[in-house]
Amino acid sequence: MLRFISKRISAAVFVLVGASFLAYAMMLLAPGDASREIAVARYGGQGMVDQATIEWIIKKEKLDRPLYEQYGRWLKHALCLDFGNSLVEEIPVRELIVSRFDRTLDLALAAILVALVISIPIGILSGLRRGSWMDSMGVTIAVTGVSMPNYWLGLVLIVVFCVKLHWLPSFGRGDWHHLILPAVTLGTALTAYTTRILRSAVIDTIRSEHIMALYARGLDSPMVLGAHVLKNALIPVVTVVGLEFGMILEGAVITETVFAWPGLGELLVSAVGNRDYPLIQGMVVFTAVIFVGINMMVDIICRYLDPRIK
Amino acid sequence: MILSTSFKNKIQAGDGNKRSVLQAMKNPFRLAALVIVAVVCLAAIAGPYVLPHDPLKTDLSLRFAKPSFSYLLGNDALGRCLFSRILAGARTSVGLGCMVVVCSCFIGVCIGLIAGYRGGLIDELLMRIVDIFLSLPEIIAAMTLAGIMGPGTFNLVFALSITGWMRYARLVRGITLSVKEREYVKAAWISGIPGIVIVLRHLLPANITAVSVLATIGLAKAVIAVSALGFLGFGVQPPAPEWGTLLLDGKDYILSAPHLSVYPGIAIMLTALGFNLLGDILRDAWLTEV
Repeated sequence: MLRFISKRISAAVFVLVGASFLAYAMMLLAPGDASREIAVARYGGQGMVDQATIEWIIKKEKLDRPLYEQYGRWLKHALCLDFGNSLVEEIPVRELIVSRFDRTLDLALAAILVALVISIPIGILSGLRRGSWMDSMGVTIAVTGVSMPNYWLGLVLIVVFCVKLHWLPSFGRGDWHHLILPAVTLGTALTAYTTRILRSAVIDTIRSEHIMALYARGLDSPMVLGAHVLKNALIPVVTVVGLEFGMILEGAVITETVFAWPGLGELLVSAVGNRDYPLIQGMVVFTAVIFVGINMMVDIICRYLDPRIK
Repeated sequence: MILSTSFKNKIQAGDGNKRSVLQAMKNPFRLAALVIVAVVCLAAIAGPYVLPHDPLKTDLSLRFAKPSFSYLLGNDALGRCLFSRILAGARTSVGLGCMVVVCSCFIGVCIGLIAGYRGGLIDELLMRIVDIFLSLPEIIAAMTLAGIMGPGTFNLVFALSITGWMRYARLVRGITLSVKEREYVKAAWISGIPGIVIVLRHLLPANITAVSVLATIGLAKAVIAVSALGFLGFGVQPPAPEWGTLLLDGKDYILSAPHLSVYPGIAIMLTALGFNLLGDILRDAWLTEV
């Protein structure tokens, strides 16, 4: 187990170094000249920037050095959690990310809660009663949820619950009422996904020989169901909830834009819109760290729950 | 790495009973899916030739007009015909989705074949690269890239393909690794057939069904992703009609004219639903032993 954990951690570190390079190299694809971009972002319009300023920036930011040297210096700072200052707001990227993180976390946890509450019963029932109406309902929910673009779902929910029914607030952040619609929006795709995985896990498990043997020994069904089927079928759900963090980070970008929820996603959209490169790099690396870290933990937990997993 | 299981589950989530495409017609949901896919394809191909109105022509006397016989879904904030815009958007959205799928498929299949065929160090290296690309959530990476590179069809397709090829590579590598051990491949090997011929004649065809299933599901994802970028303002730029951009246009009037954002969304959803279900049908028909 220890060997597995250390191997897993070193793999994660390798992946993160690679991801940080991707995040850094992305900026090279920007059209135009980096020094001019920085100058324009800092000092306003194109007309305000003269050649001397640009040369001064090139010197100061060491943009004339080779790529690996620039990346190395950036990585060294990034390891100390220093991603530089935002070009637009002139405050450290780290502070911006930290100030927005808990808001996205609220949203993510609420969305996972919504997804689990809906998908666990539906997934188990449609797996157990395969071919029944419950099953077709479960499958329909799963496919529809995957196909529904969440930016559209968010808008439709606003139309129904805010405009027509006046039940819930539409935009912004406040008490828990504000959390409901974004959480449902974000949770729908996760619900669909979890339902689907759980259903096939239950189907696989009840078909397996050890469950048949238990039935053959005459154990009653609720007992077999609770102690053996569910225990095995829930392992993939752990995996899925881990994977869902990636989907949540993606979904948060869109959901937060629709509901004007001031979280990480919204920050990223405005950073990309403003071409605020240090902020973009910091956020891309931050999402990669969260995503890879959670996946690593899920791997270790799964291995612990089911030693057969390689 | 654990990420691969998500896809495997997706491919294997079927119940294991092999059904042909014809049998699928008996299930009303699946029949509906085939009809949707046919309609969407038709709209994408022929749509621009049968538009009732010019999708770019503004007419301020028709601002926010209600649906009428001549303007089936009403008019938007500039009096443009919403039905024509959605119909014209089919080619943009689905067309871009197809381009993204073709490009990411191509990259993924090449890398998967090389990794599976060569094995060893090259395989290890390529799969680590796949892991690195997978560590950035897809939409986030695509949005950032598209935003940085600026608007344009090439940039959009590039951003979505470079962030979407990994699942194809994993799938193809896995299949190639197992097919490589089959007798007919070994026989070809012993007969002295050059490696490139083995890859193209024997290993590639073994991957085609599984890749097609994944590509069908991938098209649903790609259409949603293209529109998502359009909606966020980093994809196709207005006034070009694209479903995500239409939603973005409609969003500002969500309180007064909700139909402007509801209808384009229905188009996106039905398209994605159709291709997702088609993927299920193909999976059940072709892929029970994977």
